[in-house]
Amino acid sequence: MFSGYIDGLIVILAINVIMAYSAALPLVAGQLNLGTAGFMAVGAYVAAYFSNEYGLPIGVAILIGSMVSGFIALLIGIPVLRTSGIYLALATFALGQILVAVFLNLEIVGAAQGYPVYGYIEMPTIAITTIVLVLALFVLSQTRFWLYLTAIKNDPTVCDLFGIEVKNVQLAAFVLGGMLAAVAGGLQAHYLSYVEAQSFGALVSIYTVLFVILGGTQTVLGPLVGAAFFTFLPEVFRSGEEWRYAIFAAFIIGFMVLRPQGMVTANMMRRIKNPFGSGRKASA
Amino acid sequence: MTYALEIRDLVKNFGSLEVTRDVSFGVNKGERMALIGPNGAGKTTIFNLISGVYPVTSGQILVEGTDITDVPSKKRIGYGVSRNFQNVRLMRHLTVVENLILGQHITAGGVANMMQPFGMFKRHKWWKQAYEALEEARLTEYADETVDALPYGLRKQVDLVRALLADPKILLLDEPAAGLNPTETDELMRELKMVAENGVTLLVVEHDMHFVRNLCERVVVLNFGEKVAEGTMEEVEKDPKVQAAYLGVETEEDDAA
Repeated sequence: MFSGYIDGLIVILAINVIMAYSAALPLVAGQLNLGTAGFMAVGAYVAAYFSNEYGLPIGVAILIGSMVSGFIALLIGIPVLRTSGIYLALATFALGQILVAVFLNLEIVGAAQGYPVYGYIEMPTIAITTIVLVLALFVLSQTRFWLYLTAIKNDPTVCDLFGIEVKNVQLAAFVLGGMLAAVAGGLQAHYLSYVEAQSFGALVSIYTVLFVILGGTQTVLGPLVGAAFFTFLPEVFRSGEEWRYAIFAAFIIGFMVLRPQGMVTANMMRRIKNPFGSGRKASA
Repeated sequence: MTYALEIRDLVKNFGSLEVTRDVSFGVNKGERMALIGPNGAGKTTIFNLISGVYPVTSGQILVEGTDITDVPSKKRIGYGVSRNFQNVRLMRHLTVVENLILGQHITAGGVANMMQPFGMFKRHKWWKQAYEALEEARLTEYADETVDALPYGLRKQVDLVRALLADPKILLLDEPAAGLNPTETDELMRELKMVAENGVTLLVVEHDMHFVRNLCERVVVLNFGEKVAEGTMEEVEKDPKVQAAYLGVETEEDDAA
């Protein structure tokens, strides 16, 4: 449809957007997951395995990858989510590394040689899948579940006293995040026709979190904007090849200092919806 | 007759520190009871024990005769126990109306209804209920303000509305009048009397004695974690142990001990 360059860029954008939401779900509740790349790897390998070995339709294979990843997130999430703050970040970071290390040594999926994938999906399929997922997330953002995520970040004790199952809500967000990362992994595997464990390194997880933090977690739009911005920004700096990443890093530091709440805030969204005043006018 | 809320021989130790010692009292349904005493008397600790924020060291907590001592904090709202906090713990980044939606959790069908995308339907019953509650409290104009942007007095009002949306049988209020101006205090008093008339049992920790005198039918006085008196305000005021607790005067009993 487009040139290879544009096609490739759209796919990277789509994958980044899905990944951003996978990190955003727990982060909205105040939990930093630094292991999203591990879940992405699970999705990529499991989907590739099922489409390669059993000839399953790619969509079904990706769905299986997502379920397996969600199951792993559930099993591991129960003990890991007992920690919080920096300990949770480190635990999820280690988890991501362990998952990748498993695939690096798993002979049935090629171990360190990588794993060729025979099924292929094109850019439009990936783009449409991403749009559907984002729309589903927008619907999710209109539920009590999402409201509780924000509330838990604010004050878990008060949430508990109102009867909210704080731990279970957090676990659900973590599992959903793991499932989303797996979808991104499955899509990428079938686009690149190749999976290698090295491509799911710690940097992927860190960048994913960066998208979310810079986009903002106050609204459902934040991760999308963050991911889009940071997919295109390095491209803009492409002309200054050698300095590209230095400029990029300086930009991120500057941004965090000047706007720690992220690009898109809840107040901004309210102003867009209601430009002539902040609240409803008094009825009496 | 069974009390709406009863505590029996409540003891809480933090390590070797005894914060409350064998405190017992009962509150009748729809009664307005105050828990008073000097700073550090253990009033807020008792609130934390009743709401389950802290586990008890020993003793019992009963709601309408049912022992809830070992019920986890998140389940106590199901028994009708709701509380506020002295330092107003609203969700800062959420709007006023979103905070109220949170308060509805237990009445909104709990977990089963969590996935309803009610946010897209402005006529959903949850919005309606929240806006009605705001209108009753004459706070409609602040519905979409972020809590962060509101002055303290308004935040306290929103906090109360939120606590009431959980449809409590027993409402624990920790210094509801602190930081309010006289008009706001009178307004609060009227509101709380109405709440109690509707059958909600009130237990209030408050330092403003004028407020306590006008609102509460009975008071329990705590000092150093022990109950020193119980009765109407007039009764306890005359009690020498209460005077000692507040003024630091030594009583004969103290001398004897």
